[in-house]
Amino acid sequence: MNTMTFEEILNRLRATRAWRSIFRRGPARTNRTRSLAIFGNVFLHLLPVKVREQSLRVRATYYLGTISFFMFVVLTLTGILLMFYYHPAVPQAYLDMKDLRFVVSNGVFLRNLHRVAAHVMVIAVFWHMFHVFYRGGYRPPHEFNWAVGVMLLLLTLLLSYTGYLLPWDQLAFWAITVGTNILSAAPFFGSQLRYLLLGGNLVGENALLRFYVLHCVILPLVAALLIGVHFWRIRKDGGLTLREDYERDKK
Amino acid sequence: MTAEKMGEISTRLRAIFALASVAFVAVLAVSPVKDFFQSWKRYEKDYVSYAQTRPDTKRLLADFHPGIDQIWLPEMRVLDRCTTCHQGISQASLRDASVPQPFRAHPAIPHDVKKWGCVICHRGQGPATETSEAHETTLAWEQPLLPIRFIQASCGMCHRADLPQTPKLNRGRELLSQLNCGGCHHLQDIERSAMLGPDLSNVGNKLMRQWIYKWLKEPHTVVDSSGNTVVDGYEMEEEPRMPQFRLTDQEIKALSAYLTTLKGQPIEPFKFDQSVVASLQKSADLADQGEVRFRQMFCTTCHSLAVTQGDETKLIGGDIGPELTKVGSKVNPDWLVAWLRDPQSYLSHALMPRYRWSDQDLYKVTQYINTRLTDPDLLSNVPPLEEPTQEEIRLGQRLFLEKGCASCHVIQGVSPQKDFGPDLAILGSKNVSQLEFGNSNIPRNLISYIQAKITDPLSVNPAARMPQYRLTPTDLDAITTALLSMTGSPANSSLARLVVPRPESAFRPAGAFGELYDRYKCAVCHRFNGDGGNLAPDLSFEGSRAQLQWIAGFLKNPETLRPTLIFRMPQFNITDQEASVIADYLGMVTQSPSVKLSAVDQKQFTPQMAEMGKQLYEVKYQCNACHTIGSAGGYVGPNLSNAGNWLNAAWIEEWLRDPQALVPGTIEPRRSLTDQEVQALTAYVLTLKQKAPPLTTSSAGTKAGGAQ
Amino acid sequence: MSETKNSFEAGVGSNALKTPERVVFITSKTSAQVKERADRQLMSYPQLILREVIAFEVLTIVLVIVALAWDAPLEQLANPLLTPNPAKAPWYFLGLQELLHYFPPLVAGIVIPTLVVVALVVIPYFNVNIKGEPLWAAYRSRRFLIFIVSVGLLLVFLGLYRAWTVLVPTVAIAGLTIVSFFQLKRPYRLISFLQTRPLSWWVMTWFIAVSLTLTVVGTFFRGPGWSWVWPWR
Repeated sequence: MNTMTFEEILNRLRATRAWRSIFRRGPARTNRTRSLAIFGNVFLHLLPVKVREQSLRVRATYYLGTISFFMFVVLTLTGILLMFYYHPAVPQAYLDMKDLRFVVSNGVFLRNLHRVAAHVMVIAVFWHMFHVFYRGGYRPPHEFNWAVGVMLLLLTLLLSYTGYLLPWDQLAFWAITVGTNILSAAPFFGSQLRYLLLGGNLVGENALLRFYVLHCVILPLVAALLIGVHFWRIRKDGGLTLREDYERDKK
Repeated sequence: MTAEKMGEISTRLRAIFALASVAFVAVLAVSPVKDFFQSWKRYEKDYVSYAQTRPDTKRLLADFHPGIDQIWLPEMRVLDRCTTCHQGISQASLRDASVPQPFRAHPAIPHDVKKWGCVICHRGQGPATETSEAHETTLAWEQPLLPIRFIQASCGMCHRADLPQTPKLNRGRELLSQLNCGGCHHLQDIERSAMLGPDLSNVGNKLMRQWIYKWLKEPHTVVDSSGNTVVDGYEMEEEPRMPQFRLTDQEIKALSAYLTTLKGQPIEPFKFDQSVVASLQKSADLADQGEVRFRQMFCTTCHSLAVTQGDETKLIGGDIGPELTKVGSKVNPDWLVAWLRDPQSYLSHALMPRYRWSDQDLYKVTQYINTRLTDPDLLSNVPPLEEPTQEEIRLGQRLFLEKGCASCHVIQGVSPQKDFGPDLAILGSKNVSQLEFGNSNIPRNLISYIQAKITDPLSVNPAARMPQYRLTPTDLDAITTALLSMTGSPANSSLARLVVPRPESAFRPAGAFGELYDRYKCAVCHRFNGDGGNLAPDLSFEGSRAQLQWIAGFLKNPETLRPTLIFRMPQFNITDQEASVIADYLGMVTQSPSVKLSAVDQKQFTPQMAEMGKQLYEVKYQCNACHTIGSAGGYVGPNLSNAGNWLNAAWIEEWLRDPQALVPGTIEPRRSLTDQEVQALTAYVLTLKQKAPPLTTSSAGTKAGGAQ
Repeated sequence: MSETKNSFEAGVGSNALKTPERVVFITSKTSAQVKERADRQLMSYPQLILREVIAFEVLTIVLVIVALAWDAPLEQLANPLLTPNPAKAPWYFLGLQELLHYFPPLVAGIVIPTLVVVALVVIPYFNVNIKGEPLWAAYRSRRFLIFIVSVGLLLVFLGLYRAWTVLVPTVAIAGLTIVSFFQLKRPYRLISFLQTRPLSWWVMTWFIAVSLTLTVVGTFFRGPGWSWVWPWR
């Protein structure tokens, strides 16, 4: 009974003019309307209309790519909320951490979520890459998408690393100092490169501002762009490569 | 399969979706719920209900504002939310000990609690709104709440000058200076004291090797059952400053061998006038005569001797110089003579004054010291020590540097290592993560670290060079307090303005007087403008008080102004010229602004006035209850027999009007005398001119001018 | 499948009219190639979408539970004068930091990571062994010799630098490779699996083993002055 009424309400809603102006297709009960649901939606049209049943099995992919993408979504959402409470200034950045911990409602939860998601994303992206490699997903015609994936791995690491400095505590300061010291070992223009990244010779307020802009604007935009390309190319390259395909090709 | 089946969801998947969605929503609700039950909100609720049980509910609630309460001092970089839970902190009516925490009010202190916040003094994490985060050490905050018994350390962070309200801190600073911690460590505001350990450049001339061995082995021989330090069998009020180093027998032998070879400037034995020696050697009571001179010269003002009465052994005498009971077993007789004649030529910063000795006196006193002040048992457990070998001497020299001896003891040509011990100027703000605890199982915090490091350095660092100090628990806490107060210079200029600096020594005279001041070590006993010792009268206004001739005469022959005192001014055997230099200087410089010497003319006092003054003195005010004139009177105030030659008229007048204005804290009662009475009493006092019987070096032994 | 697969002119033999399921692209100029298989297809909407939503929900539940139980670390205010010992980079760079302990900064910090990234991007373009032929399938003795010599040289190099935490996983993986070389009568399942692995698999496995070891060692086993410590002590 309840489901019926729920369905009735849904049907009535779908019949309204406003709804129909947004979703032009009817209820997704036929394959045609189901297809329309995918390519009629600006976000979903990156996905193929049909997928192989085998590729939906958990063991086929462990949803590692999906997990990586969802981590990106969670990080974007929590990150935007955190930006409301954060000033990229010394020592205000650190005091903002204290406020998040002690004053802001759910502030500590928000920060924890962001931090956990960041770790999970790094792990998921690495695992994703290894998994794709072992099932031969890098082979033609996927070689370009593989390269995009490697770029996304680097972006993930950079995103995590630039975010590491933002709390402006001892952990952050010294991790960034150690990391950027490696940069200055690069031949010819190592120390210049480091100077460019830090906006100075030491990790200071300039470095904090640069890392903030990189972390919150530049890197996420580039990552979002590449994620779009990555998804789109999966479809264009003929879907996922499954282990079975690889093993079969070998014979 | 049919085409439409491609899009149909299985029941199993639907169920998983339903379950996951419910769990999803439920889990997201946890954090907001947790937020709702935060501990500070509970404390505020409790405060409101507690306020309702108090008689002044209305006022308490009027002052209560729900929400997070914070004190923000941007200049001091302090953000303080303690008052969110400690709601009653400035409510005078909640000061009672029966008020439950965290609502009790702060005890009254000179600072406004609401203006300064809590964490500046009490430490802890100001921004925190949870009990454990605010009070304890966390990863994010390594300065936990300071235990209340060390709270005076916080006063010392800004008040670098000693405050009367902080006795523990002051005692700690005093100890740091006395124990010469600055010898090895850099300490904020604790100047490296001039009184280091003895200069050892020529110590081979002075000491016997056996005695050095004994001393290195047991600088404080034992601690008795009641915890008092016992040196050579009797109690000392203070510890010897030399701490216990961890030395093996071999190391002690090497060090003692090395030290006996230090004879940089060989001393030439003083050639006594042979006739004097010949005449004195005949007398059978030579040592007794020496003892009499020893006492007459008031050596015991600075030096103490052990005296046994019944079962009890006590030290009698002053503690400015070393105790001398067994000094005859310690030093070389030739050195003793050289030392008594000119202490500073052996040790330039010695406190001992340079007396002008007659040959007779010098001979007698040294004989007394060498024969009577000895103890054959002192060195009985020292093993036989052979001639020092080259190997021992080399090892000793190395040890002298390695063990840090050079930080306290000077040896010419041996330079101490720079920054021998760690810099302690910011010890009080060190983080736990910066401290090395080694394998010890003490609690991981700054306080237990400091105390372990002082009392048992090996427990926290097996390779520690730091010697072991034995302090009473009170002194240990005091020194800990002083160390905790050292938190470095303020982070910015607005904080620096709050610091009350430690006063520099104000009185550093120059010129001819400066030399004498240094030679006779006046400041060891006397105070000048707030600087110096407390043993003898403050001389800041001596020029206003005393007549110049009297000062000169007193210096040459210190009579006793206050007969009840054991400690008196020693007889320095000052020359006439020196006496007049000192008197002139005191007369010129040490003037009180309120005493106008030129305003009072001696001639204005008539005998009638003096007669009236005598009446007032004897009858109306009964001054003789405290003061002595001739042979009659009390012993509380100074003897006035010779006051007419001693005091300035203007001083007497001013003194009679308001004694406490001239010498704060004096016990002389302030009477409301009329001007006429003041003048009459002054006139009378000025007539008192009885010479006390003179004491000179030549009148030795005949009259017992003994102190005790 | 066809022998000409490598040139992207696959499946010419199939008759598109007879087997309408099979779609074949002939020309090598097209950017992509779709190989249709005879397995079941599902509609992305709602089959894929729903699964992804469930994945998102499960993931979020796990994240939230972890976020409630574990607090993100926050140490004291940054202080350039107070160097912690050891100062560690984020965990995913600790493998590099561990390498820096053994090799000069230019090699460990710049050359090796750059090479790894370039190799990852470039290798698919070389079409080496696209079939995934097992390492020991042909030229057995010659390959074995080359393998032994190159691994031997690598081990000598690592030994000279005393890079033990690189050397140990290298020895382990090389050992497995050698084991898979010998053809046993009744091999274990693991060994028969390893015998079918191509060279690329071995290289990647070696890379993962080394980076995992380095990261774990750098995270848990390194103390003051980058000295070896036991995390449970």
